[in-house]
Amino acid sequence: MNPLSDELGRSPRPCTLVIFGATGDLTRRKLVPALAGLARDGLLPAAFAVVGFARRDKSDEQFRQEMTAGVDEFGREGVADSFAAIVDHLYYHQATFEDADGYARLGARLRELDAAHGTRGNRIFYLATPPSAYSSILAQLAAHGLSQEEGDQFARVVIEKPFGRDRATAAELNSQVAAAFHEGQVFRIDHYLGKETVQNILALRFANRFFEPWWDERHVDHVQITVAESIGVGGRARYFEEAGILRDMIQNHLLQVLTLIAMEPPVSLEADAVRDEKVKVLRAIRSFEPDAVARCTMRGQYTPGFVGASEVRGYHEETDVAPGSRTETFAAVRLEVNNWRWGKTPFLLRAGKRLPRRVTEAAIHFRRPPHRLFEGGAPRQRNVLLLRIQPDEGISMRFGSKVPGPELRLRDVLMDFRYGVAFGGRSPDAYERLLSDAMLGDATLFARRDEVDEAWRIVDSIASGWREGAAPLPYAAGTWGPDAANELLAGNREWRRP
Amino acid sequence: MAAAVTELRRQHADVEDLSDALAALWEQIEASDPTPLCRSLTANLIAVAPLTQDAWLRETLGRVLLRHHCRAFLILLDPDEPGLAAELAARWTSEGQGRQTVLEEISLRTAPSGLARAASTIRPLVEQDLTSHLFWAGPLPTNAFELTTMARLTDRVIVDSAAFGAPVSDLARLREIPEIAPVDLAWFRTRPWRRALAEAFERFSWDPQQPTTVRLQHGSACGAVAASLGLRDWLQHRLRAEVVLETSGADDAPDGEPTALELRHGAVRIELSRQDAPSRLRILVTRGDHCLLPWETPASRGQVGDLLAAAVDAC
Repeated sequence: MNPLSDELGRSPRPCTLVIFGATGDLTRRKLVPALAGLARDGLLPAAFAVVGFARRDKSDEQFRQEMTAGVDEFGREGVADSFAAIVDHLYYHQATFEDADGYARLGARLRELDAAHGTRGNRIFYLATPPSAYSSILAQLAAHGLSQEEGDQFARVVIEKPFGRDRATAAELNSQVAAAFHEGQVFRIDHYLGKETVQNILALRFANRFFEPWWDERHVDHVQITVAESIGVGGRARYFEEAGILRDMIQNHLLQVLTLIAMEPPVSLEADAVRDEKVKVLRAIRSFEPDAVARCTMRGQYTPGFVGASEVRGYHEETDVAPGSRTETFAAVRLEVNNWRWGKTPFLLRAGKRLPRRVTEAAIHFRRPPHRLFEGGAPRQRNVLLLRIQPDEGISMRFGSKVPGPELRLRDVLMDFRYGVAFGGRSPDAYERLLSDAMLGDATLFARRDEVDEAWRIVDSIASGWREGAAPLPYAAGTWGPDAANELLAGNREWRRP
Repeated sequence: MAAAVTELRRQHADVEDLSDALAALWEQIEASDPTPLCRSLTANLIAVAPLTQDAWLRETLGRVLLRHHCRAFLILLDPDEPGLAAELAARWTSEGQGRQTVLEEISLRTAPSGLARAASTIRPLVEQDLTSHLFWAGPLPTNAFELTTMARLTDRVIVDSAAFGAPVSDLARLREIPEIAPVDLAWFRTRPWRRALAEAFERFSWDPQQPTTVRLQHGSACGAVAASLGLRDWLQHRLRAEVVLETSGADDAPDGEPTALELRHGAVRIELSRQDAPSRLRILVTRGDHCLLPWETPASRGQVGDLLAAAVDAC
């Protein structure tokens, strides 16, 4: 027992982080800069080492230099010195993902690092590889005993999305994971959950008294969740052709945000208490029958246009996009959470590429007052509680207020809270929070197996209907998607133009 | 895009009429730019320092503002000030489509004997819904009444014993003042040392039955002495360690930290030493005949303003 452990704050226990796919973009742009940020904030374990595992031949020193360059380019301000203090803790291990001998050598190397750094046999394996490599890595880790936990040692695996491309492949992947690791060792990353503003949804709802009494179908008319990107598919067309926006965004990010907005209060903030409530929300969303797919969903594909002042290509003109591709770059879905709290309040989800601006937000639209006391001067629009997830993170509330003067006229006004202004400083990157939590063994912000399964059930039922249905509707790049998306709203509602 | 920070010109104000002067200041700020303005203050900060430290205090406040937007009351002690002189200022940032006030500053110049009047002047101006902190930035006053008068306005008191004339006796005197349980910035300066020790303790099994001895070296300046005293008390309390303080004779660390520490616990030896340029702590753990690879951590949390922001955060 460490009698001074309270001084370590949120620092995890000693461990070695093994990154598979260490020469890839994710490692250089996100993971290692996140480690530098954690070092800066004193949130790395006391005894710590990193092993980069990849196919290319490289020395420890080369790996360290490349990662230092990555931190300089992508790390947050002021982390370079902190990273310099830990760069000697980075090592490189060359092997292919299928090479059994490579894993035997990895095991020996990890034991050496335990002796040199005091990392005490604790391991975290981070799969920053294409999903096609997961199967080999998981099997080899199990075959070489690296997934075993002995005594108080831990072994954990962190898996990047996508978790499969449909319910069946996700189940197969989960089975492969389960053959090597038990569920408590598994951390499935959806980086949206690492964002401060997403976590703040829980704080807003459950740390304050005055939001929760309105948070139901009696007061909420509908909820709009938007993830908009101004960029196109860029260099990811091959992946995107397989996935489409439905699998790339809605299956994970949007449904995760929806569960946080719709869930019941958990009995505690323990990982499973929170995740139990999230899963209940997903279970309350019925799979779509084919006729419901036509009625409650729509998809689009961008055509040439202007985003800002830049003229951009249409999806079909993008490199690596198949001729006549029917892959959707925009999707809108109307969901109902069939439980006592939400009744018939619709949740309207929308995601797209080549939209006018990059924005992620959730807007809670309240019902109009039951009695129009202010004849002719009622607020022009519904009251809205807006949770801005990115950029310009914060919360604002729209409500009607009397315009000064002798007449009783009302106008909508905004009450605004901005994260960056109220708290100063910059929020840590989502990967910092998630890496830290994985090292601490806190799975609250990671997707559980049943969550992934339920999300795929919903998404599969939509994808299945789309296979038989009409082609995606065209929309000009730089617009908010096809006009037909408005048909999902009904009831005198309209999509926000954030 | 970085936010543009604007400071309104400082202006003298009548101490009898500060509420109205603040309201007028608000109107000026609103009129100076057509973009909407809102307030986003998170704390009241009352800072007391000698007039000679005026510039330093404002620079320190600037560091605090990076983290906490506040209504600040700067009480500048000037033995030659016959009455009470007031100045007002405000800062705001322009970001996106709006403006946010990040500082409302009320400066009062007074002789130490006028602190009671200064306290009653600012009492109605303290924002009631926000936590209030007193930062006593200078030497410990000989008259405890001066400190307690200001402390009664606030929820928490923060001192920096590195600024005391004689840390050993002044800290003892501070402990005897009723009503006050101050947070000491010197304690925040020892944070890297405490953390480094905690990290070292992760690397072996501590046996509470075995004795622990510590040699702690420090320079002769007040900051180093104050930090070492705090660290000594902590080691005695937490490890029941026998701690020997040694004056190193070396140059003082620039930001008031000890210079070296050696801890022995059975066959385990932990050595901490301060490295300069960049300022780091080097930690070496030896277990019997096995030596772990040494490692380094940043030594300092930065300037007084950063420590003060951390102290406010710890509330």
